[in-house]
Amino acid sequence: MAEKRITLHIGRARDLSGRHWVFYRLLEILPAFLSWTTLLLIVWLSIYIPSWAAYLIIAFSFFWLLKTVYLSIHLRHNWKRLLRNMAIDWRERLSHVKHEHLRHLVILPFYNEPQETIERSIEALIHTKGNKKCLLIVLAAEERAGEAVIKTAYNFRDKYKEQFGDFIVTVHPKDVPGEMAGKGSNISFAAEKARVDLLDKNQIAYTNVIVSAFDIDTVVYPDYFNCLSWHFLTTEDPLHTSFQPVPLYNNNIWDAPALARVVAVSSTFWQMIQQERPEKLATFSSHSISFEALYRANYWQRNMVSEDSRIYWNLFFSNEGNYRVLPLAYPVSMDTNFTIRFFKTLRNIYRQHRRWTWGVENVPYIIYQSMYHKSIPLTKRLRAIFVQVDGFWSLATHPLILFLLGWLPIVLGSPAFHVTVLSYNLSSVARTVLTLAMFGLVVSAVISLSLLPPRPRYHRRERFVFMVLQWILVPFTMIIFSAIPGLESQTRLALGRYLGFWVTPKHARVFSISESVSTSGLLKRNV
Amino acid sequence: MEGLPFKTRQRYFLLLTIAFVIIAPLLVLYASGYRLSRNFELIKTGGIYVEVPISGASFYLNDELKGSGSLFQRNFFIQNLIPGTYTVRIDREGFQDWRKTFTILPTFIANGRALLLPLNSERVAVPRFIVGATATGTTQHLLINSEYQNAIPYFSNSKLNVSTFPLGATTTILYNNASTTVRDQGDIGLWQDKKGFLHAWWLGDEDRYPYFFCDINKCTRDILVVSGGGTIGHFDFLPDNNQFVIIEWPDGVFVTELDTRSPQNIQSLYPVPGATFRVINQDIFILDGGQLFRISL
Repeated sequence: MAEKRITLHIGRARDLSGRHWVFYRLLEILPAFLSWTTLLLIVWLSIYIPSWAAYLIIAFSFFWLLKTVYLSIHLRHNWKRLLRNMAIDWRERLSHVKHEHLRHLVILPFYNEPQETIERSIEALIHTKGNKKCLLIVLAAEERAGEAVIKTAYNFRDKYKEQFGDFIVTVHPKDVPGEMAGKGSNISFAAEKARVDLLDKNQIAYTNVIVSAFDIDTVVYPDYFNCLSWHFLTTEDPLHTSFQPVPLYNNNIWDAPALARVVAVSSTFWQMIQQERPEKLATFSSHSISFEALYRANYWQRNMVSEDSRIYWNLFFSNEGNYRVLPLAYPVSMDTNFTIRFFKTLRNIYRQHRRWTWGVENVPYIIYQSMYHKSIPLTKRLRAIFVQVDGFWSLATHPLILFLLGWLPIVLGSPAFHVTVLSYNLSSVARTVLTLAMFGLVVSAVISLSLLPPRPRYHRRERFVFMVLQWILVPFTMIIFSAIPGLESQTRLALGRYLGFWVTPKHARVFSISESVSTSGLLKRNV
Repeated sequence: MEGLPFKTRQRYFLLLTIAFVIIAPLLVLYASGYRLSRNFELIKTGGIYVEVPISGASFYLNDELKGSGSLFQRNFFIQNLIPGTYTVRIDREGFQDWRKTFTILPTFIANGRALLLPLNSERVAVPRFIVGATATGTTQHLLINSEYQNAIPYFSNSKLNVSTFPLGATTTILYNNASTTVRDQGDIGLWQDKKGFLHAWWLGDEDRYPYFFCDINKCTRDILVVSGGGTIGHFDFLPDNNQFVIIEWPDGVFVTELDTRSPQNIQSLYPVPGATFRVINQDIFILDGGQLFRISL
């Protein structure tokens, strides 16, 4: 068992040796190889066979239009489902099933985020509906953050302990060999500490505990735990299931600049789309999971950045494919990434997305594990590989092909190409098709408005207009905050220049819970 | 409310895949110039693109008005033309007409660049002397006009020689055959043969011929620009342009286009016998009977 755990927790090629190292290293190169080959192929074709490049670009633009339609259908359905789920009285629904035995272990890892951010998240937990004594809170601090931060954590514990079933503070030691400083190592440490200090001590069965690993800026909606409990109790095989809420970045969205808002809401939309395609869904950011499953997988990986999605793959392979993510279609609210300085905001968003796209480190892992888990049906393994490879390849290449490389045959093509009808029609046909695809943005604008929390009084009504107009920034954000960080991540992985964990700085205006969640548009309308 | 059922998603996927399989090839064919004829036959069409330097010009195809240019869309593009021969006319009030006959090939665009010179070019006299004042401003003097002083020496032939012409395998041949002067701009050289005929020579790579060096069959390095009209006194490119050439003939100064495809448009710039010109620092200067003018187009 121990050996298997070590194998399952591969972080990167250097954790292996010999031919395994070589194989894994090649797999690390694969995503960048595919992406760069695609882009260079377009450039090469544009120079030497521009007509082929033009055919490819026209067909690809149309493919993109259809993909937009396809994804918009998913988005719209999830939007309706999310609103419906927000309107449900989950406590009432839960009352029909036996649920008193369930405990929610809430892990809140933090580094040096503002106290207000931590307090707001804890306050939101207090404002949830249901028996708060079922909530076991773990405030997971980092030793490397310093004494003052740790002291703050204990202050929070003293202040809020009585409100919950229990409240402990864990301090993840710094410089542990084999670990990467970051969220994964912190929450794994916290989970193990909670197991000993809370679960074992109080003889709570692991099967009755649902762990919610939340980013520290996660503000839960009042019915989150009721909704989660109901799904846990009613779904088939909950011990082989992770539960994924929809991350809304609503905490400070009214204060964020347009670029930050577009990027944040786009991330939400992508998760909403994935919620309607559960076979493609992996856990992301704040998620919930049974403690039993987590314990068997030896918690989250401590030696890598993308622990949130990796835990799903750990469990997928450790359970020989018998594992899934159940989309809750119920939101949690988080911070939009921005600072008071515009360019710093851009830099932070870029870094955040580079960290997210660093999830490409799952590609070699999935392929490697698929080779050694032959009891998983081949089609299931191939689908898992294809979904991941396609996902990272698409995000790094598609925006560049659509919005930049589409012009290359015209720019680089020979004079012989320049006098063809194809050369003259390339830009207009591609532009027309892409303009049609942009109608998908109208859907996005409508849905995003409906998900907004109420406008704070200090923002003028006209800001609504910008909340709509902001969507014209999408082509830009797709390139700057999707394709380029995606390419950088893949290239870094290929070159062995591995990314470390980067803590997203939180800049949240000090909202009270009533401002950010309790009176959000969603709840106001539906509860 | 349940998630989108897998079967529903599959149906959408199938529907969109079918749409892609059917429509994408049609889009590619359309973009390549294929059209459906009235007999429902797939035919290859071509088009014409004319670059127009000024806004507000009208575009006639076989004497039928097809459109007018605007401030933002000066150029004309027309496609869906069945292969054949078409005559294009571009005109605008106050400017000389430009006409060209194009042969349209299937799936190809015939390019043109309209030469539209004003009927009366704006000319600014450059006097030899200008009136200047002393530092105190109390008295006036006649001062030598530096613009005049700088321009006049260019009107002696000594300023024109082959030294600026790039040397190379092809240019050596040109040099040996050239009788008088040679000019070059943007990989195109102008030269006169020993008979006095004016030629344009493509100096760039063979796979980079500009469209006006090519007719429907092939591209050629050498275009015979002018073989008549009298003795050429001087020639040069129109400023910032390597497709139009200014030529001094005995009856004045004219501009012609480089184009191997059909009779070249020749428009008058300064149709006064005995006038000569020079292009100096991208300005056109005319010397007419001792008077110097700067021409604005």
